[in-house]
Amino acid sequence: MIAPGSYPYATIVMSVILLLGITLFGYLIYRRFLLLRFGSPDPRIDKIKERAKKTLHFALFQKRLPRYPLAGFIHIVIFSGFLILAIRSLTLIGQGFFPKFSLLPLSINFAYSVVTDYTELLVMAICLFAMIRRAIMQPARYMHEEDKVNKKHKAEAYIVLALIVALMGTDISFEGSMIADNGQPSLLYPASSVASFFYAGFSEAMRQTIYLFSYWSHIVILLVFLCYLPLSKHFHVITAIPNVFFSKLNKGSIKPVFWERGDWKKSDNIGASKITDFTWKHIFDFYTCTDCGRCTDNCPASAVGRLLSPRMISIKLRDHAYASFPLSNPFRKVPVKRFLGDIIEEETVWACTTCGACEEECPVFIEYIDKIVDMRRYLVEAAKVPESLHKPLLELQRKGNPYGEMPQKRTDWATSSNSTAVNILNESDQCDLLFFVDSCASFDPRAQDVARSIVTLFQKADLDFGILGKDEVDSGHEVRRMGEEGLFEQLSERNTNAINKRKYRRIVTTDPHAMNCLKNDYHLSHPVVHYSEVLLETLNSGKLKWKGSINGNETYTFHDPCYLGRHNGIYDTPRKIMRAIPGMRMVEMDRSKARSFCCGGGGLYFWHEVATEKERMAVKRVNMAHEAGANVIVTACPFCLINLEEAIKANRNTDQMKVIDLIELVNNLV
Amino acid sequence: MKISVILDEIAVMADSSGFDPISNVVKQEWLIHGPNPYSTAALEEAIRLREKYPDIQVSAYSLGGADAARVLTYAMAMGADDAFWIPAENIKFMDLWDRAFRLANAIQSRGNDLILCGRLSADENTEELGPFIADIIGVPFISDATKIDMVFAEQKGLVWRRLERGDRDVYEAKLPLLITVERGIRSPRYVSVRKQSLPWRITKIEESSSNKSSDLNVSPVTLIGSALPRPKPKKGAQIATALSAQDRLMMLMSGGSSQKKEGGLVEGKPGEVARRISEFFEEKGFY
Repeated sequence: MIAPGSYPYATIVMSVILLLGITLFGYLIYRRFLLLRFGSPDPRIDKIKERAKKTLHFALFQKRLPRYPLAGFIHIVIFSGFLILAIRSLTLIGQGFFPKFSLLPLSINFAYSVVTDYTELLVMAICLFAMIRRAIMQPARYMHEEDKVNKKHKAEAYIVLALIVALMGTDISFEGSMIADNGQPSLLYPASSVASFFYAGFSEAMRQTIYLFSYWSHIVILLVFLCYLPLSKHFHVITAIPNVFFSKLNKGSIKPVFWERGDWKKSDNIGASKITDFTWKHIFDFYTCTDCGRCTDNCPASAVGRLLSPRMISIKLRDHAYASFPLSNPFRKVPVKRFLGDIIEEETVWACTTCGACEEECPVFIEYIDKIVDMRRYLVEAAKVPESLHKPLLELQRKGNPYGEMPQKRTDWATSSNSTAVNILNESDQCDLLFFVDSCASFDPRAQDVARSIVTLFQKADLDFGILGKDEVDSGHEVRRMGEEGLFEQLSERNTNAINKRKYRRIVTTDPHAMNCLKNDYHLSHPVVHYSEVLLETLNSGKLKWKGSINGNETYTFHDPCYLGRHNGIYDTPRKIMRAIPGMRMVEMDRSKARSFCCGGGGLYFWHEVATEKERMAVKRVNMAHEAGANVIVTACPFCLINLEEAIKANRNTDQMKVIDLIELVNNLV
Repeated sequence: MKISVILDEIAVMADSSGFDPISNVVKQEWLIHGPNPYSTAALEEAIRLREKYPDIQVSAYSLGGADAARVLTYAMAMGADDAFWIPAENIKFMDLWDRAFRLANAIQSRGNDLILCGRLSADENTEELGPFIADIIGVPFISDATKIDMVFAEQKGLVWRRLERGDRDVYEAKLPLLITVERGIRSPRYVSVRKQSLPWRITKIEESSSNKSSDLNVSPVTLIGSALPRPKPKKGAQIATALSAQDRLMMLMSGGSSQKKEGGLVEGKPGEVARRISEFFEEKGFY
């Protein structure tokens, strides 16, 4: 047989195909790159070592993909197939110029060709299966309500799978026709051998034609595939690895209004309402989204029927970005159309509780919370805050707490009963633990119980602690996440001043939200911890002894608060404490730890009424605990506690259930 | 087309524990200052009219010291087109007729089609300023408006007026007109802290020598004294018996009667709550 590269025209044809393909590909990439340059700045090249490590783990080893076992397996097979077959494809291109071309040393060429054959067979089978899975098995996450209006992207998945099958098929056919001509079918090359049986009866000229046709179609499909990537959701083949490398490292924090220096308050263009208001990385996120739907599948807001689907935010905004900056546009024309209120509805923006389930699940680390907060910042400045939030925000402006209570009454919970005489620190006073109570535990009657439990327990453990008293204001955690940055700055400044005037070693909080805020949004010089961490230390040190044990009839489960678990990685501390309790019988809910289901949100989300909602998140969560067989839900966040308690009252099935805060549970038994 | 909105700042106290038990006067540090919610409701109504008819200009007016300047900054941040500050010291010791005169002078000299102001000032509760101004300028007024639907091209519109028990009067009115606005159906838009901190342009109106209101001596009222507001006692059926006799006496002498409300919040499962409420009705002889 005559190798394709031996024909005199081969060099020219190959050069033309490559030139066309690569030029087009280069142009497309350049256009995509140009749009990134219109995005606002975002520094992402610090801590190279940490980023490289993350890239290795999550991009190359694909650690997040097996969270969905079947899809993860399929993806890993196709991804490794790509890595293995890249050499094969480059070799084939080289053979267009030099018939004897080989990238690998001849000694391992044989072994590689065996691997290639098996890989191609496997990838082809997996791709065919993936198509069947999409078309017939129809996983729920591809069947989201909004898919009905977004049919275009459904086709993309089939096109790419078909292209991969065609790539594999042409190479198998290429090898098969060669074997049919002068080789022996062998189990070493199962795929090509099967192909060779088909070609065995053909004439030599026919085989030569098939041989050439397979070769050139493989090359053409390869370049079509390459150029199709930047035009479809399969851009992730190129962008996923850099997207993981540039991903956000400090979880739990919120991006500043602008990354540039200078006073943000003077700008007229706050928040995101146009595609260019996003940072370049956020636009890059849109490029990278593969429409896998894991985010929406895990989104609690989506699960209760709110108008929010994180996946559709990416998809709609990518479509919008491409449409407002089309490939034919003049290079310097900046897209200016506003998407907010039109492509992304206002209600969608306010439906998010910033629980972080989407970000935790995304295999390529797409950020949603920062984008949603940026969109809210725009709405706040455009005076489009939902009416239910007006009052708490105004109370925060005037009184420093959303409950509308007078600041003078902030310490009433601590001074009202004699058993809990709390050390209220004056300026320049000193203590070991500074207890930051925050508004909820200061004013909400149920959460006050939690604060009192902390005080009695700390007193039992003989810890040296104090509170800020009337100098404390709301931490501003939800204020910032609601997009009211100016108010957050005011609150954080007052708290930082009050905190810095006292001497302390660590700050401890009741509320994971306050902990997250003080830890990640404030710039304090000393560490901030959650009470559960202090509790575990004291239990381990032996200062506290168990005096009672749990009633044997009850089964406990732990509900992970979003800002304790997902945002700050504290999953095991509360569980270790629970397991240490004598007589504890514990079960885990299906959705626990990193997949925990938000209770509906704390802080300002208490006041926020969402227009479209089929069910309360907390009710759904209580049902999950019920299904897991638990009677008592333990949590470590006052907001979760209140939300879940309310849900139990409103739900018939869960009459006998109870919710208790971890600190109350422990306090009753030591 | 011009809409003038009159705004003021109020000082409120959220509950009754912040007063001096001897003098009965509210402690200064317990007061929270902010724009009068009725004023902001009026401004919100004006801005909504402007959103409907784009050639309207909304001007904000306020009389007073630094508090007036603060409330005008707030008005600008909310979306007023311009703001006029009529400086006056000790506004709390100025009678309403005098205040109305100064405001009317400032508004009249700038021309207007529609004047909006709050139904009342939430701390002084007089409900008089708007009608006084209407009288001085010589335009009709409608009080307690809950909804305004103006057609500026025809110089007239419909005004819904609050009556008791949810009833409404609907008036057709011609411009020029003064309307005092009831708060309620529409919550004024939220103004971000950033917007409030921007350096808005506020025009200060110095009184011209020709029509100084103090020279006119228009006020038929002489003010002898003025005191800060007292906390309002909660009205109830039963005096709290948990207090000592002396405390109860103190309370009666100070004019207050902090009382315990009968009953309480009924909590529990829906079924149980319903049962307990029906028992309560039965007990009280409702049926």
